[in-house]
Amino acid sequence: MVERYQFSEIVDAFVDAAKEVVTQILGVEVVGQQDGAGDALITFDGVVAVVGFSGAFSGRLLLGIPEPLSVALFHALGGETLPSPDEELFAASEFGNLVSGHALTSINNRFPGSNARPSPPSAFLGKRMVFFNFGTTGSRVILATPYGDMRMDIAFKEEP
Amino acid sequence: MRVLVVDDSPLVRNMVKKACLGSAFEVVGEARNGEEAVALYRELLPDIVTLDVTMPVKDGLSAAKEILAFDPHARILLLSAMGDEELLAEARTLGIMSSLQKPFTPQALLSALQDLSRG
Repeated sequence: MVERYQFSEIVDAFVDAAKEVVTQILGVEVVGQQDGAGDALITFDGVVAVVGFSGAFSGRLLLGIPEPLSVALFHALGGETLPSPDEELFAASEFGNLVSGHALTSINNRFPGSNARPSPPSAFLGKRMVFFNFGTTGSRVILATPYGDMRMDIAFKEEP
Repeated sequence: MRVLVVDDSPLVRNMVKKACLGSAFEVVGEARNGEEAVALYRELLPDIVTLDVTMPVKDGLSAAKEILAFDPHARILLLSAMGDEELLAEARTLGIMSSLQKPFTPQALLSALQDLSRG
């Protein structure tokens, strides 16, 4: 029997994971706070990483990454030149993978039996990109980094 | 020691290659998913495999199961952003005894590879 989750604990796990991963790979501090309930319709400009997850609960992480941060992540992940758009997307995808991996590791250890697993990440680059989260409980978090503010939307649904 | 690197991220595959430069470990093959990993393992017979878990087409644990069925002595380092107890227990049950959570430093990777090569 899986212990009952509190949605705030799921969100906290993702916020802590994002702070931890940014600090580990870029060596900078991140300040984050919940900015409100998630929206069903979310519009992003720039680079977005998307990671789904499933297990005892399912959901999706959307990470809106400012351009200077995606470039810094690319260099921290071994890139040596100015990244091409493809390379920015590779860096964003891996960043989404790291954040979701660390968050779900923490959640699985906190709630044994959850067995929540991420799906392979994907990333998009563009202007006025619209994403939809329907039938889920959502939360919006703004994380302030020295490279600009990163927006994180966590949508979550418990499986029956 | 000949190493097969398995990860869907080209950045991570490059990081592993760079970490191995000038060391006792030589990357002899790269796979982007579990299916390619199984095929390349059979072809290259590497000494060590670094294996991501979350990948398209075929995930890392499914690939490990097939690699270990082909070669029960395969030495696999699980290199994943995930590191929870349930996952590691499942990996141990399959016969994977070594893991390193991403992100990793080159030093931590080489140390894990060295430990695995001695084991």
